[in-house]
Amino acid sequence: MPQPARRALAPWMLLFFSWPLAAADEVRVAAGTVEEQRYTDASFGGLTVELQLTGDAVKDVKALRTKVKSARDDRGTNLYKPSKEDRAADFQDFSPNTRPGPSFKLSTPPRDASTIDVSGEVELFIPSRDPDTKLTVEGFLNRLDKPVASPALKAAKAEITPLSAAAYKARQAGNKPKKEDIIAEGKKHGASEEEIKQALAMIEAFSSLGGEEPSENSVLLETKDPDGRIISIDVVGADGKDLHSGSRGSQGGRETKLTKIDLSSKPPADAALLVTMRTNKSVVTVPVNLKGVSLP
Amino acid sequence: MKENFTRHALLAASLVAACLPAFAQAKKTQAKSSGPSASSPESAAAPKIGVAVDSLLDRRTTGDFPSPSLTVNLKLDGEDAGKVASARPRATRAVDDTGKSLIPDPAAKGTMMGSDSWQQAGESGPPALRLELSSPPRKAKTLSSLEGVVETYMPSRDPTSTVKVDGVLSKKDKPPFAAPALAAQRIRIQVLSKDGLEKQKKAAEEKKKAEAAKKKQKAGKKEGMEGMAEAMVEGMADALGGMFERLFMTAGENDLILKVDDPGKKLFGFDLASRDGKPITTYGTMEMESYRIVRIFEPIPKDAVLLVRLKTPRSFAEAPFSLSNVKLP
Repeated sequence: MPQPARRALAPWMLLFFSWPLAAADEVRVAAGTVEEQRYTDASFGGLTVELQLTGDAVKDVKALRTKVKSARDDRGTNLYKPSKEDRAADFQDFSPNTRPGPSFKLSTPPRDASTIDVSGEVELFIPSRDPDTKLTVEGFLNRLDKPVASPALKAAKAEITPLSAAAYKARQAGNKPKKEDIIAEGKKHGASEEEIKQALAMIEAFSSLGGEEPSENSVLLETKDPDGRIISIDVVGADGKDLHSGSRGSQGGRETKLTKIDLSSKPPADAALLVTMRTNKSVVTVPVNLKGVSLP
Repeated sequence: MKENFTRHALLAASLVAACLPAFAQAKKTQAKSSGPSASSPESAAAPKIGVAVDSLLDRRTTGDFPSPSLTVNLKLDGEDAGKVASARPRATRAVDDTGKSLIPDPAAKGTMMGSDSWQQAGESGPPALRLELSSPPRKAKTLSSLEGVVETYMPSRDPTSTVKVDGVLSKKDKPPFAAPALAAQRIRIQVLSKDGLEKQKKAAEEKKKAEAAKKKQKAGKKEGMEGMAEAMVEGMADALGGMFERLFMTAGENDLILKVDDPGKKLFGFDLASRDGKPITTYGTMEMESYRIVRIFEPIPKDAVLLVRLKTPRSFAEAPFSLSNVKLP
């Protein structure tokens, strides 16, 4: 590149790299409520440090995730040991009024500890920073049971398939955990017969809670999103206005998830899906360093 | 996906389990009461049971809600432990090693869950009990003294406390059954299916509407009363509808739905057994107005027997306990 062109590019490069920093500077993170659950069996429970976000940019944050880097109490106990299987958490919806707010989850400190130091980061999803975070899938109701064709989704390694009721129910039935699998899983973890029985009962109760049949008001989706790039999927009218959803439920994980969105009325044939995805430009990382946080 | 779903389901179960410490925690005895208790003059002879600490949960917070608390999970053993059908503990003294009393403020007790509820025995043994205390200071290391009483319900001590109703399923959607022992206590019990519940809902709504319509007629001549009466009709019908909706939502396919009339409050609870007397595991009974839903997750055998448990003086007893130096988690 010739020297003058390089010089002309320099201010833009500077602006590009300083943008995330500027947003990060506009958000400050402090410790909020600290909660601790101390069980006789120390493998249960733990310490939760709620994070309070302040600053002008907080109102633009639509989702976030937290990551602990280190945590020690004043007696030197390490309260965070990352496991090899750990992978980045999913982004969680955020609004300044959401309670409980974002948090760091740590191990239980000894009773004779009185304060802790924690460092980590909060990744903020700010969609207003990048128009490419929004993807509209028009006329999806006319193309049921076929994955949405979209270069943006492909680039994000994500797949969205609007489902017919029949396909949804078939997938749901195929995914229902078998009693034998649950018993085997329970035994693997050393659960007693009574505990397994109770777990089965609870799972049955949970299934019955979320087991409502899809109605004509339901929008049914299957998503595959191994990198957790999809932040939300909403149903909108042809005019782009949100079609009110009374409730929504989902089951599964990043690899495959079934979602049922129950609208207050039957969606019009020209309804569209409004997909919000995180992009590199839309995510700002704020470092967190909390010192001398008092334990309850 | 299947693996994910299974994991999801187990996670859901483990979340619930985390809220039910008695279910989730490892069994670890830390202290045990000194042995069979002395008898109480108010009730039948004290049962021969020992009370030991199973596990503890100290919930601490720098915030105001939820309130900090110490949950002590107790377990029963001893000669009579297997005969205890239901029990509930009550602490009379709880002091940590800093000298602080952990007996909750009576005004705050109402907000603590499970402190007054009876716990049923399970297939695995006697009832697992929970005591809710105040959270000790961080610097406390032990619960130096924990004293109290376990109230027990032991129907085997009094044959008149159990009324057996054979073939309970055959009584579904029929008029309330007439067992003499129940009639003597003025207790009426009707077994309902979900369809039967639906019919009761409609009948109750019609009745309320008719009653309110009568009131409306009476009040009709008075200015402004008509609207009020109409609103009253709708309000009552809505409230009834809401109650039945909740019943519907709550009742599982295998649950036993009962409508109970018990003016003297003589009923203690319900159990199920097979014809040969073998207990059928239930998961507690939910109460909603005059309805009871006995939770069961397997279909009830056709010849199942309903065991109606009654409150009789001889079926209740109290066992004091005294524990010391319980290590705090």
